Amino acid sequence: MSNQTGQRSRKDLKCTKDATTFQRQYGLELRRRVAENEEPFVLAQADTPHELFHVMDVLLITNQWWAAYISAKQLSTRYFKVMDEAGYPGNSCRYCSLGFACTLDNDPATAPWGGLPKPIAFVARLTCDCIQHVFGQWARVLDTDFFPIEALAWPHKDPEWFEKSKEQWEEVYQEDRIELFVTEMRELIELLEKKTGRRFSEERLATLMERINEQEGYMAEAADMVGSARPCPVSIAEQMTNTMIPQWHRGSDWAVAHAKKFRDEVAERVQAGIGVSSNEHIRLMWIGAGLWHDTGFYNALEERYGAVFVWSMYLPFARVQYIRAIKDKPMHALASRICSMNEVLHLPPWMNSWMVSEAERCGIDAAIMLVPPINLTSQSGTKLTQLSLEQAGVPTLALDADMVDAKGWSREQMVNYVSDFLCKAGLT
Amino acid sequence: MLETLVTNTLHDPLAAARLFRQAGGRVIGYVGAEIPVELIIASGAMPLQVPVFDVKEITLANRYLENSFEPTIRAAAERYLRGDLDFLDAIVFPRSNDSAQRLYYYLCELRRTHGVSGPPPLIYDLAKIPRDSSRAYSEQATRRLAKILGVEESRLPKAIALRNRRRELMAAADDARIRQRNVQGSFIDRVFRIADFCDRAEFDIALSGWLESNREKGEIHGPRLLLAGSAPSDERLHLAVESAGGNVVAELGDFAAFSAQLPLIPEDGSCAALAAHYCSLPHGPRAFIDRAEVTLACARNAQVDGVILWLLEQEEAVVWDVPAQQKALASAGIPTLSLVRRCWDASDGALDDIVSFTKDLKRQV
Repeated sequence: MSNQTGQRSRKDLKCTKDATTFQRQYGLELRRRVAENEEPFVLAQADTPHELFHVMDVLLITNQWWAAYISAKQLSTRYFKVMDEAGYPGNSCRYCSLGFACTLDNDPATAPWGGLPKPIAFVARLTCDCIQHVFGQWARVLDTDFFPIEALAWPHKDPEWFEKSKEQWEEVYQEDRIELFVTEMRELIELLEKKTGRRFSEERLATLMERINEQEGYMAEAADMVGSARPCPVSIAEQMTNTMIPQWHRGSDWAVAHAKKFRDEVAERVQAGIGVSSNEHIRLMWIGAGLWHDTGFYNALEERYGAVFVWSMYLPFARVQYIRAIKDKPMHALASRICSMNEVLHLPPWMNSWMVSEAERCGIDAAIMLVPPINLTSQSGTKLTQLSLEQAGVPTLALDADMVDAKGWSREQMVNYVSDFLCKAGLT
Repeated sequence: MLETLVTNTLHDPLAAARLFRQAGGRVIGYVGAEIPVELIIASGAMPLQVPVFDVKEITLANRYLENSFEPTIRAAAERYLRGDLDFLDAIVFPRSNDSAQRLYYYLCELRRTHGVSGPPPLIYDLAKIPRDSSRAYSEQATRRLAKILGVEESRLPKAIALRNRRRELMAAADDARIRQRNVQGSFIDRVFRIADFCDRAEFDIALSGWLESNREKGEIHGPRLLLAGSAPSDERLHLAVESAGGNVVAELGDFAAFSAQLPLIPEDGSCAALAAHYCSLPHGPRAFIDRAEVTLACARNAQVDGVILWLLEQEEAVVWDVPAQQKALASAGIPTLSLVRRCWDASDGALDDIVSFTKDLKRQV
């Protein structure tokens, strides 16, 4: 996906190719509409209510997707240098700021799409201390609006949140938090209506929410099969592709159909007894963002030890954080989906309790945890989760590595490091 | 009297709070500048800013906190996990600082699952976006905290008045440094740092007395500096400036001295006024301010000859404003020493850099 250094992961499923082909086509279409037709678009963080943009047919560029796109064009190094030259210290959050660097560089000859035109707005939930500065400055440079969304405190800490999130979301996510999020979404809608002249329809949102529930339901079924089948039928690299690409388009006809196709293909493989490895001995859990610069790493231990990565957060997250009983309150149901999306993956008790439960569900033997350097949000919760997993009998290894920056990464060294860990844990 | 209080308090920063507790009083701890201390006072408890300057060795906190946590927050965690704060009735964390708010969740979890004792952690859910919905939410959050602490709103005006009195005294001390030019920055830093470790009345009386006696003192010569960015744990950066013949006359960032320059809170005593005050504070990483403009205004107000921008390695927010700050200061012809990604204890050569910079300024001045 970005800064590719290692070989790509093996692709076994037909639908994986379909997803990547669709995304490639979508990228071209998006480029045509944004860069050539100059249609209005929003640049938003991944954990924002994309559903609003979809309902209003406002084009969306996700910051993380744009950063990955820039990386895939081998432009990260150039833009990191641009940031350095502009006086931004090197510990700034690189994943979130790569697009900003591209804008600062202001060189249409090298920039993807000739550079991003002005969005009608930047939208971010303030889940860390830095994003308001990145988006605020980016919006200022492009002379457009920045719409920040609060990331409120969450004092109601229910370790079993994932059992209740679908039906009891008012209780789990707290009504006062949901209410403010709904208010903020209405303010964002007002801004979008003003800037595009289009009208938001709550009925359309309700329909979209139903479609998203259908899509995520297929994903949840696939996650169940992946967790219970022996051997594991789908590699995590393919789980990620088949989950994340439809997730960017959630609720669309293509996304719902693709989720169903993926579910069916997983079922076929389970029925036929086809596994990622013919020699599955060790079931591993991958905690953290995908290792986008070397997805082939995930396959590296299969032959040597029969060690298969069977779990990453992306696929099972569909059930616990996306599916919502709508209860005739689509805005509130949507708020409950988004208002804690980052927190459940990075803060105790939500992160560790869910990971322990998932490890048990999937028969995990050991966990490998990605801990990126100098980034509080990405690192957050990892030590307590490691302790929780180890207390639950799941040996856990923290890997110091970045998800997009391949600097300092050596496939061979990391494989040896993991091998030593598995050996010490008595698994090989 | 003030000097003795400073020395004694720095020697044992928890002593006054422990004494208050032993006498049957309640003590509520808090972390950072964005906690409405007025609520703690109005609840009848003694507010205690959790001291971190004297936590030299971190062992327990490292088991649970990842390396990107701010050092001050890590030190507060160490103090908590060591049991130093067990005598507190509660400890309030701000949501408006990412490291601090994450520590709140960590401590809650450690209490739940790891048998960690210590005062119940609370969170003050200040929403800093300058929008009506955030301001209204902050008012609700202030009311919620007031309820948890057992505050009767009728007692708030007096608490606000007491805290305003403290602000006025600190502003007067700060003014002596800036206008009378007869106070050293290291002394002010020490005095302001201990302010919320002491018995309130004792500190205010001592500071008031000192202000009277200080008027007679002569002017301090040499280059005048603004220290901006991360707040160091002690006065070592100030002392480095002084050792080279200069003086830090103002600070910008999460420093106690910066609070002294802020407006008073209306004393009619409403949660709305309190929330509005804390929402608008320009201290923290979540403030929606033009930091370059604020830096320049602060430098001009203090009539400084140079600015030191000192930022920690773990600083993820304010660091984004450094290019704009540098540009603004350069345009105004104010020399700037930019020290970013630095160690908390300044053991990375920062002190030498500060000494050289100050000496250069001295030659120019």
